[in-house]
Order: sequence, then C-alpha cells, then structure tokens
Amino acid sequence: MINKISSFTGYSYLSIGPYSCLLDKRAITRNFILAAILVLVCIGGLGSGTVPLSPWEVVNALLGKGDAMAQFVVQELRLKRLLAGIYTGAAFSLAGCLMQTLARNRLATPGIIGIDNAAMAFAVSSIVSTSISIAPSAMALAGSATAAALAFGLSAHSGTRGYRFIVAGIAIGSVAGAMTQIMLSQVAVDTANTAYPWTVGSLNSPSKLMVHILGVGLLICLIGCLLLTHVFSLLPFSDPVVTGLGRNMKHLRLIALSLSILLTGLAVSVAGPVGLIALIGPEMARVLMQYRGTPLISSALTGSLIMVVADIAGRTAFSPVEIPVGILTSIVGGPYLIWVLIRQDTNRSL
Amino acid sequence: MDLGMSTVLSANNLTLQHGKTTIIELLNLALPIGKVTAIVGPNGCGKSTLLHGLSRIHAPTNGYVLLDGKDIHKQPSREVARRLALLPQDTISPDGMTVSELIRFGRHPHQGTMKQWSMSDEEAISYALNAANLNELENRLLDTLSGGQRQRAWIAMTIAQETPLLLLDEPTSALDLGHQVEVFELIKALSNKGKTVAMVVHDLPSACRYADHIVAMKGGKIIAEGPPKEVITKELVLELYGIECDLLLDPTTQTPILINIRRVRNG
Repeated sequence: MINKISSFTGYSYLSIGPYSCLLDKRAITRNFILAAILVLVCIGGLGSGTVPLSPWEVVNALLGKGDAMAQFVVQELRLKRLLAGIYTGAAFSLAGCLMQTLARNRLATPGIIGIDNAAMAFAVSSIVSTSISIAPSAMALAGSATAAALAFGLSAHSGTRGYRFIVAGIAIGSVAGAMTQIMLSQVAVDTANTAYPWTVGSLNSPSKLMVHILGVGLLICLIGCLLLTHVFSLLPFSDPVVTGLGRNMKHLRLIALSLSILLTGLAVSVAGPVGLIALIGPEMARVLMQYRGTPLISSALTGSLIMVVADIAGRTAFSPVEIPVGILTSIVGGPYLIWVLIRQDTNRSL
Repeated sequence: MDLGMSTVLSANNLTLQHGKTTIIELLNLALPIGKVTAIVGPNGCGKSTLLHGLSRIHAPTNGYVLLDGKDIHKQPSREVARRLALLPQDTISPDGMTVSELIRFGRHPHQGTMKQWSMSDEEAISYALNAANLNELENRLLDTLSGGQRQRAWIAMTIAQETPLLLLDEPTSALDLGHQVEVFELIKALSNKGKTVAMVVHDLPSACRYADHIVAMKGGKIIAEGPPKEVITKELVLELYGIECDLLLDPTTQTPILINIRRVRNG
C-alpha cells in the first residue's frame, strides 16, 4: 500500500484508491508498539483474578474454544470490564488531548467545564433518590449533556475559548460537586456506599448497554479524528494563520470541543469520574512522540493502557479488597504528572 | 509555475471597526499587480487593521474587499486561500515542528479529506525550500533557527501555498538589520517572479528601498499613494511622523533616504 518513499525524512507516502496521505513513520511504529503492549496487557488482565488462566487459555476462550468454564469466566465475567477499561481510557485520554490542543494548555481537561462533576451528581441522585428510577449510567450521561449544554448556553456568543465558557464550566462543576455532597450526607450509609463508586470512578460494574454505546461512540470519534487529522493539525497555530490557510478556527474549535465533550460524557457514564486519565494519557503520548504534532491516536492508546493496567492492579493487588480504578489512577498518576511537569523544559507551550 | 498572475485585490469604501471604534473609514485601494506595496504610517494609523481587512481576518462593517471583483467574504475561505496567502504578525511555531513540516502546511488549501497528500504537494514544497534558500535547514526544528531563518521558513510556507497574492504583517519587526535584508530580498524576489505583495512596514527607508508602491496612512485614511520617489517628501514625513528631515536619493537604488532627522520644536 505504501507505494512511494517520500522525499521527506521520516515520512512515507500512502495511497489507497482516492485516499492519499503522508505518514510519520516514527509515530506509526510507536503506535503499533503501544497497541501490541495493550493487547498483551489485556490478555494478562483477562487471565488474572480468582480463577487464574494462562494467556493460551485466554486466547482460546476468546476464540470460543477450549474449556467451557474458562470461556464463561473470560467472555461473561471479565470481557465486559476489560472493554469498559479500554474504551473509557481511550475516550478520557483522547478527549483530554483534544481539549489541551484547542486550549493550548497542557493542563486543560474536559473536567474543567464541569462534565465529570455533573455526571457524578446525576448518577448519585439516581441512587439516593427514591423517586427517580433511571439507571445511574443513563443519569450520568444526562448529567454530562446538561453540563455541556449549560456551559455552551451560558457562554453563548462569546466563543468556545472565551473565559465565560470556562468560568461557566467551573461554576457548573462546583455546584454539581456540592449537590453530590449534600445528597450523600442526607442518606443512609448503605445508600451512600452504593453511590460511592460514582464519586471516585470505578469499573466494578459497568452497564453493558453503556459500554456498547461508548464503544460505538469511541469508534465514530476515532474515525472522525483520523479523517480530520489534517484539519486538527492546524489547532496549534494562531487564528490568523489558520484563516490564511482557508480554515475557520472557530469551527475547528467547536468540532474538537464537541468531540471532547461527547467522549467524556460517554466515558463518565460508564466508569464515573476518572478525569486524571485526561491529563496523564495525553502527557504520556506526547512524551512518546517527543512532543511532535498532536498525538490523538497515541493518546487513545496510552489512555486505554493506563486504565487497563490500573484496573488490573486495583482488583488484584489487595484482593479480595478492590481499589476503585479512579483512586488508583490518582495515587499513581498524580506523582507521575508532577514528575513530568517538573522535568519538562519550561519553553514548551503545550 | 503559473499562479494566475492577474488576480486583483482591492478595497471598496472599506470601513473597519474594532467594537464601536472606527479604525478605517471609506477607504479605497487597489494593489498594483506584480508589484510590492508597502503600507506605512505611524503607530495606530490603522495599517495593520487594513491588512487584516484585506486578508479577510477582520470583517468590514461597511464596504467590500474584492478578490477578482467578488466580495472576499462571500467566497469559500479555502478557495480564497488558493489565491491569497497571509503571513500574520503573531505566528506561533508549534512545538517540535521542523522547517519542512511547517512549509507543508502551506499545501493545506490544496488538500482534501481524501487527498491529503499528492506529488504536486511535494513539488511545491521543494520549490518553496529552494526559493527561500532553506534546503540545508529542511529538517531543523523551528525553535533552533535564528529569527531571520524562521521568518524565511514562514514565508516559504506561503510560497508553497502557490498564491498570486501575498500579504505580510510587519514581516521584519523583530529582526536585526542583516535578517531584515534577508527577508526583504526574499520578498522582492517573489515579486520579481510575478507575485503581488502587500506588506505593513514600520521602517520608512526599507519601505522605500524594497517597495514599488507606497501607501501612506494616517488616522485610518490613505494620505498619499504612489512610487516611493514621487510620494516621499519632507512634508509627508512631517505629517506622518511629526519629524523634520532632509531627503537624499540613494545613489545606487535611486530611492529616497531620510537624513538629518530631528524632532519638531514647538515655538
């Protein structure tokens, strides 16, 4: 398929039918290695637990062969959780990468506009309330949509990069956070315990339907990102440069922001707020890509990897006690992030 | 390379506002084809705003900017970008970008979702690298270049855009004399190949030296326009900048140079 070596060092020219593009060979290689590591970790993860399985047994069980017990454990018990981890990790991280690129700030995450908190508040409300009988995950989705709509609504006409948008988001997030606390303090301890995973982020019992919805949403967003790679690559430039090249920066930002919000909303409704992935995933991807370009695909891969590893560690390290994935990513991710930021030369803009 | 050299850019009763403040009112201008036009004037005279207006960054409150006789804002931006390239003042060089990667972005208006790269892109980029004399710096990171080299890389990006028109906003503002000459000579060479160039320039002698056409602005209006030799007078310099000076003709280029510059003494 790669039919011509480009004259540019480090790039290959790819042409399939009407589609043609230039490929960064280094990025492709590194993404393949990342994907390979992810596959290995997933096989390891499917094999670990109270019924340990060898990698060979796992692969067989996935293919529908071998021991019926192993097939049941892998396909019915562990696969859903693993997929939830892969999808949410990729979604959070990709959303974070988009947000940081469009805000030109390495510390921007979709959480800044209150999506996580709103999802959390809505999910908790569905658990603690007796009148609402909608599943917490559906409520979480409704929460993120509400937060996004409010942030857009309150900052209407001031653009998606204006301070109003961020201030509105912070306000929404803090109100939602406070509401969650009020709700939790007003109910019986058992109910509060049930709601607890929604406040820290957990892959303990993801809703199967939501996992599928997230999977489809993620696939659409990934394809969108691939098709729009050449357009998104303009995001780091200043507005007049983008105009000069014939694109409207406002439209670009709106597309990137919408994708970011959609991904976060879907991911939060599966796993609750594991927002730190949106910071660590892209940062790790940038380090791997040596700060070249906008590593969207790499971010998705690193996000999945972090999430899956954190979940495996959380459920096996202190077994039978499970540590929610959100707590584990915070404990490990926080220091990692600080290390990366300190180590980084100060002249990087992103 | 055929760039469709007859492309015309003009302003028709152009009024530009920042919020409620009118910066430019009822301005008329047509850029001479294949020539270098320098827009000069004191700080705050609206020369950058005019360039923003001409390059469709700043939408007019009244009047039109016409590209080939049609309102520039009524034409698809990508189509405009194939005829008009812009080098704004506030360029940010994204991290970890090499010279050839930057130049590649000049091809953006010629690419589509499916056809993200083609051999004509490759030709345009090697042409741009050559024209801007950047062959040896092709794989260098932008942050490791000198100011002049980096500015040449940005101009090379606009060359790769293959447009008959090029607008530059203070292309030499942060450069020392040597780098200024480097950039101006590149711009002059582009115009000699038929490109229509308009640039905002702070330095009047440089404008006289490198431009074929001077547009002198004050208070949002064009107060003088024409070839440097005819336009630049002691009176004009006094009106523009409030300074007294004498004029000489540069013996080699026959362009006006300012000497004996002094502040006007009141009383």
